[in-house]
Amino acid sequence: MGKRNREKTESGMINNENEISKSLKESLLRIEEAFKDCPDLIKRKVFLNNSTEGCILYLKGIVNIDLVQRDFINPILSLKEENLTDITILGSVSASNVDCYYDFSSIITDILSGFAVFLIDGRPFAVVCKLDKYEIRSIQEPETEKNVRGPHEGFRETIESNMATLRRKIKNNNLKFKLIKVGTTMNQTVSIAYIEDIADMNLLEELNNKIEGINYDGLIPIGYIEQFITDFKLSPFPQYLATERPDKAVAGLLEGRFVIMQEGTPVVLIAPVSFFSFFQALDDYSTNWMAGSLIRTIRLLGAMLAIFLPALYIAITSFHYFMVPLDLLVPLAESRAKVPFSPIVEALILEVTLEMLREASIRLPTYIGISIGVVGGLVIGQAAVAAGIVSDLFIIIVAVTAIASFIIPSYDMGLAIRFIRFIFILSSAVFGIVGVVVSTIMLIAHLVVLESLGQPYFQPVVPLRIKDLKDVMVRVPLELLRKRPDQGNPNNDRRGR
Amino acid sequence: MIEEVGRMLDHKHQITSRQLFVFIIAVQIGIGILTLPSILVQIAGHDAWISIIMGGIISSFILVIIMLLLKRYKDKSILEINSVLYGKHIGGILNILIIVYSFVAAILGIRIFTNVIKVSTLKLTPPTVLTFFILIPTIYLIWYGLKAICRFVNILLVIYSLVIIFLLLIYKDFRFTFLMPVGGSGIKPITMAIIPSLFGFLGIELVAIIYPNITDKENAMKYALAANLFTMVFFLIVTIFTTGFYGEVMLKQLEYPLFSISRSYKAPIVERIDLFFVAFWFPAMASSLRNYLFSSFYSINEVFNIKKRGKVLFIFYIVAVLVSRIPKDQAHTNQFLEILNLLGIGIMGYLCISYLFSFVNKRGVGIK
Repeated sequence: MGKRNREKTESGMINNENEISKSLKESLLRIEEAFKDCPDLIKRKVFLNNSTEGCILYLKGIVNIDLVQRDFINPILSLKEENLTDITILGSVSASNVDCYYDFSSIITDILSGFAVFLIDGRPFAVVCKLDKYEIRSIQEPETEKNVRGPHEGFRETIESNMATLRRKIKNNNLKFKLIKVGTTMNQTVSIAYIEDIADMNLLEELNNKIEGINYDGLIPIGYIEQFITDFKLSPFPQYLATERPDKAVAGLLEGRFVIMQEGTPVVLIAPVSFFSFFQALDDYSTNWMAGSLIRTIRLLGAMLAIFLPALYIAITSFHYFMVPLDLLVPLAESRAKVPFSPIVEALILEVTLEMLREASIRLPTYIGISIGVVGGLVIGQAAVAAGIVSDLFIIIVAVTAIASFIIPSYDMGLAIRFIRFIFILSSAVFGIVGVVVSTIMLIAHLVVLESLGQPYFQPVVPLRIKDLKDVMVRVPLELLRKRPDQGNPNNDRRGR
Repeated sequence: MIEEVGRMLDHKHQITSRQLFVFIIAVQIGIGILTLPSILVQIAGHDAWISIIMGGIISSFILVIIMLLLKRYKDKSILEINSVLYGKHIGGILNILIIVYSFVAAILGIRIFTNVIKVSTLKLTPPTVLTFFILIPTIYLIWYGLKAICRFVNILLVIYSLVIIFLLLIYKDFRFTFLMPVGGSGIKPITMAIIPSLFGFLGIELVAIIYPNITDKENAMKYALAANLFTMVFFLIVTIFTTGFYGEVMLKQLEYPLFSISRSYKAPIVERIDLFFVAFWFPAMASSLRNYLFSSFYSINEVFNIKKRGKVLFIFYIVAVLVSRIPKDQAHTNQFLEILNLLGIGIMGYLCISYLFSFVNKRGVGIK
């Protein structure tokens, strides 16, 4: 409530008069009105050495008060009367991040973003100094994206430290950041990182326009941005690659892609990406290429199993049982004979239970998570078969499906595949193998139509780019990966000189 | 409804010549090939493959003439050429005829497709429901336009190669003596079989409708001819193989030789591999009818200048499904098909005549 009032008065003030008045009292009154009911605003009146009145304003908790005192207040207090013009003040303050403003609205935004503001009676300007200190998390390895041979650091919640992380990794002045303000209430900063001599500037323009066009009060996690700028909203597939790993972001930048970072979230988005980007992990590149290719192939196979296996089971058991070889048909019939439900009901019972189990294990603390595993394992594994609710074979299928869907490195893609699996299950229950085929065609048609930031999503396969196929199923040795992929539409596609 | 925007929708119909190649292949290979070998063998005996080669050569000539006609009029499709060449009224009637032809071709394709599914996999599902279901991807792709369709049909190349690989698996039972003596059936039956073999090549006439959307028109002729030759080679392989596998006497009896041949392979682990084979062939059949359906929808849009594409497509979808239920049974469908095939040959002939006529009436020639 208080926030909303502040918003109103602030915008009202801007419309009336945007200049800072010469009288300190008047300025303070206006600031006080803007920050009504904000106890974290600290006002400290001081007297300069010729008894001119001044006032320092900052927000408690986001300003490093020790540094402000030493490097900002002390030098100003020791200034002489005739030096109190704007430019000389800036010169004699020892803090590095000092600026001078004449308009009222930027003072308000500056106070809100961790500046210390100094107002002097009789002067129509304010001196501001950025010496902020947020409490931030230490660098940790992202829980959901662990790897074996890469660096073990992750992004953090502040945008400055994330930008610094990228800068530290890419020591090149061509690494640029484009800053955009989003969130009409929250006033957040979004930054698009790109490497100027690689990335396509038209795409940057497009992305920039999209983000600037977001009209929403606050974007809490970066998924908000993702959903606002997605072209194909009726698609289960993620069209931007979300990651917490700086090394992944760097790899994306080097391929001419853009990295979207947002204040307040450790997750960044990489765009444009292809369907196959979601199956790549940095370990594929940091290990031997043969092993990397094997793992990559297994991942894609896993995704296919996770989609098709339960659907094929249902199609075959309910419509085309004659496709099962005789040796397997007898045990299958035996175990199915004990189950009173049709295959689809059986499948839904088990799949839904498994999804619930998975959802529960995300939120619960680890020590309860273990007991969930025991309950799930025992109940689903043993008791369900013994009670005659599901058949043995289907338990195996569900288990294989679950394991297969766990190996997809991206959480978003995992979600998409879980969702698609249910569509496949339902259509195969109604139309058998025809349902599976039609769903597959629909899936491929959708992937072919889909775009990520205007670039084809299914890129190296359809439309076919033979040179990019070297990095899809197999990952050829790095010496042969001399060209950047076409996906990011890079300016110069040669890696290295 | 949520707006979906993307570069895909901006230039949704623009294709390259290479995509024209797959478009033509997809239209030709699909439904016709299922019955083609047995129909040809009934007329020309074991020399059916010679008829296919001749059919391929003749259809290539027709294709060249169609491309020349389109080249004369630069950026125009046959729908615009008609009104320039024959005047507004006759041109309009011809346009409607083209729309009806491509629509009926699509409808019969849908009907045959449904029948095949019904016979091979789902015997009890109500056919109307089945038709609604199997057309979903088709309608989806038509909504996204020609580019999406052409991107999609790329995967058919994989399916065709799978069929060839499958034929290689059972090469042991292939007997060359079934094909001997070459030309033994006599010249008359072989020439008689050229007309039905031409039916298999139907589909090249659709180039006349989509031609303005090709971005690199200078290569279009090359790729279109290559596509026709690809189809010919594929037909040739399948016909020679089925003849050499079954012999002409047996082959005459079979309804769908391509599916029957898949039943003869005994795979390890999986029983009844033929069901997989049939399932793999579904996309090929669907693509064939999809291209006709798209052409007719596209022509309707062009001729009647439709604004609300979504609504019209939805109505189109429902009408297509319902109309496809009109033929009473398989025999009735085949009667329609015979008429349609003749109509298709007629359309080809009419395109060739138009080319000649364009030298008489030179209005609009070569103007962009």
